[in-house]
Amino acid sequence: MVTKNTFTAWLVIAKNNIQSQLLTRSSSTLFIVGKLLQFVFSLIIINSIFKNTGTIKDYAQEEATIFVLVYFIMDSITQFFFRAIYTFRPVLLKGDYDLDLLKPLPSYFRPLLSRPDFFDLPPLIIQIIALFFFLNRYQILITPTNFFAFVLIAMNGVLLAFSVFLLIASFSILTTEVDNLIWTYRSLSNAARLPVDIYPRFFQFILTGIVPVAIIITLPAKALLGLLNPQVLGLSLLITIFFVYSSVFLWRKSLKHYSSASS
Amino acid sequence: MLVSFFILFYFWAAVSETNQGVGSYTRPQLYAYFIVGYVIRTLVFSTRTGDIGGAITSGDLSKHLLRPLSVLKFFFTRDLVDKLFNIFFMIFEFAFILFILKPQMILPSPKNLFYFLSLLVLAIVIFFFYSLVVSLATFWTDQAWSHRWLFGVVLVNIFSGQAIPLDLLPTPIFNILKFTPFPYLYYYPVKFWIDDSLNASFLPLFIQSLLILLVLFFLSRFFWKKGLIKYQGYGN
Repeated sequence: MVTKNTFTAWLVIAKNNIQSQLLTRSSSTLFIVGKLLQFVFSLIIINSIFKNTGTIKDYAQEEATIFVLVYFIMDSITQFFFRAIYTFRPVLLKGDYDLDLLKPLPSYFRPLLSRPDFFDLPPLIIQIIALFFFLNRYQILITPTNFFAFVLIAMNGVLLAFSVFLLIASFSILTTEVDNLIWTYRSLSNAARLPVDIYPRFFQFILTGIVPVAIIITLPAKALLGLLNPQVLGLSLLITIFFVYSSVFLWRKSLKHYSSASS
Repeated sequence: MLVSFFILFYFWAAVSETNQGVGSYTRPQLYAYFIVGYVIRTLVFSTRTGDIGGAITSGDLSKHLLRPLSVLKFFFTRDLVDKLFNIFFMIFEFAFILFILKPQMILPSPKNLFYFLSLLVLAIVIFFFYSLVVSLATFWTDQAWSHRWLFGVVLVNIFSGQAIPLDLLPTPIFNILKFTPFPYLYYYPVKFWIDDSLNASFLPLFIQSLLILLVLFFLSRFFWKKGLIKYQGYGN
């Protein structure tokens, strides 16, 4: 799927993008400040909730904090890589996507990978440092197995996020509608800040099987804390395989329906 | 918005399950806080003032300036029409929410309903001028979206009480927030719906809301006058 040329093209585009984002320093600062505020305030909210109530279902404050931290890390990683989906609609409406299809790059490059968002990197670094800080503060011992499982499940999460965004891109070619789908995904991913087992069963099903934000976000945290059982791990890998195949299938189908109407 | 409401609702339902409440809030109070909050979010935070920032950077503001209309009154009218439009859809959404969740909810006394409505009307006008000030700041910036996102979206979402009742936050944070417009947009109106222990403080809070409104009104006029001097309309 990803060749050396694709990677080289991504590096060039990433370099151009970071230069463009650094041109407007005041705007960049405001974006980064906003992201950090959201992050810090989420931790304050969790802390405040636990001060007023002992547990959330069976989860203690220490676990909930780690879930929130991993949520932000996974969110920053996926937003960094796949931010381009937010700007795909105008490209489609103008018919400019034709020009991208002529390039010797994968067809999904433009809608998913063409705009890495470097505003997500400074918060990501701080979130990773915060994760280690809180693991140390709460004296949560991470075994090498748990850490390895975390890295593996996190990579699985990024792949799954790729397929979800590819599905959204496919729908956008068929319907020219992206924004509502993206914001629905963003809203649902907010629900995965805490383990989805705290929600009612049907809602858990939506967050795991229909829009699998639980697998993208909650499972890496569970793996890190050693709360993941092999059955869930196996099921999540099956769901990822299903999503990857169906998203690639739908993407190919939708490309056949791309009419380039505006150009 | 409906999706994010359900997420918030289920989250707080889970949080309050063990102790049948959180802090001083009972479950019916928490349910009312977020369900009535849905109405507030629809009425207060829907705005078209963000278009002004875009019009400044693109130069489209020149078109508005050439018309024999007050630009600010024009945008205020658009905001009101937008809210009326939203009310129409909100009625169905609200009925849907009540039908699906069938929540136990606190209902206000007629007096508290009056307090709620008074603060709600003020919140709508306060948010209009707050959002206007944020948009007018575009006269001095290179693009419209970044400061609007920070001041008009992030800070409002975080500090107005949409995610958590503000009195559950650490006391120093809550005390600082009282001096900002944010709690007057969401937290105080809904608080009068769910809790009559605050009734004695209605008048001081109403006066504080009015003061904040006045400050934002004059600030928006100041920004508008100074901004028009700076405006060059080079987008056109």
